[in-house]
Amino acid sequence: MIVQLSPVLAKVATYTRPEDLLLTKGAWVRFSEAWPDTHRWAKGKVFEVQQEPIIVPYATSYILPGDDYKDIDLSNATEGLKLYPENQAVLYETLVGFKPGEYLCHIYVPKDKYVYALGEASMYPDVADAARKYLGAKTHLDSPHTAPLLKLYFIKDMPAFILRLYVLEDVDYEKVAVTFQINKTQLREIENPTLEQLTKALLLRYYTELTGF
Amino acid sequence: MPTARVTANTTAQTLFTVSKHKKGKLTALNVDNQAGSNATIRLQDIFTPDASAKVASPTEKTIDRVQLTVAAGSSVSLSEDSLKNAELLGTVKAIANITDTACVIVAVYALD
Repeated sequence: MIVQLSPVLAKVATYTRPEDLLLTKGAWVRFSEAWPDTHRWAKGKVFEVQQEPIIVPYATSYILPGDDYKDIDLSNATEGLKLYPENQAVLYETLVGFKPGEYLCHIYVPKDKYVYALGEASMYPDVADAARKYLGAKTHLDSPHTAPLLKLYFIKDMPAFILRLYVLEDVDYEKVAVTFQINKTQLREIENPTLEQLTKALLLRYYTELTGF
Repeated sequence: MPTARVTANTTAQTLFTVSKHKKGKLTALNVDNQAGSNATIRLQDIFTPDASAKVASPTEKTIDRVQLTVAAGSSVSLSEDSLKNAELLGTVKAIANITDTACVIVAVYALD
């Protein structure tokens, strides 16, 4: 559901094949058993990607005042950016990049459920708190728009990813620009996956598995 | 790099508009004032912010990013180094305390 590659990948020369970074034809993905029955077609199942990457670039930007924020819904809700697929057996692998600027990005899924909290009860991201506004916050250094490292995975009707874009204090106004590279993949179910397919498939967890520890 | 040229006017004159997903930076600013009086030039950045958590209905903002005074019969060039901290978000206009076509303002800029 969410993957962040090491920022070192953006800074060093490495031999990297496209399939190392993006799902390509023949790649395997597995949805965990935690996906609810509303996503029965995916829950606990293993799939193979059917075609080479079809990548759709997109971008959004906002001019925001300092010490203020805006929540961006990535789903197909009325007020959302509508980046989710509309059919079952389709997975959108989305690389998210940030242009440089004096801002932070907090990630929620769904709204008000932060992803990057720690175990202690008070250690959750909070843009109103001088210290915890930095907890779990992503910046352009974590996923530069020229070499995005943050991946989100979308299927039809799954809970909305929310990006909370917070402009730091002591800035009058900032233009926050976020880029998306959406790899559209069609999936074919593997009805009797081998042990190799089960272990090597990219595991897509449900959001409830990302927190609480 | 793109350039924009206007002459001094007490009504703000548009130099350029920054693209939606980009920010602008001045890499040079040249003012050649052959008018008969000193000219004070301000570069304004004009934009309407997006709605945010604290401001549901934002209004248009005009922010002065650069100001300089050029004596009559002289010229001033500001380098990229002295302009690098002026980030531009919207429409960039030049406004002066005089209206005179003999005072020419040239901005060299980059969008990123």
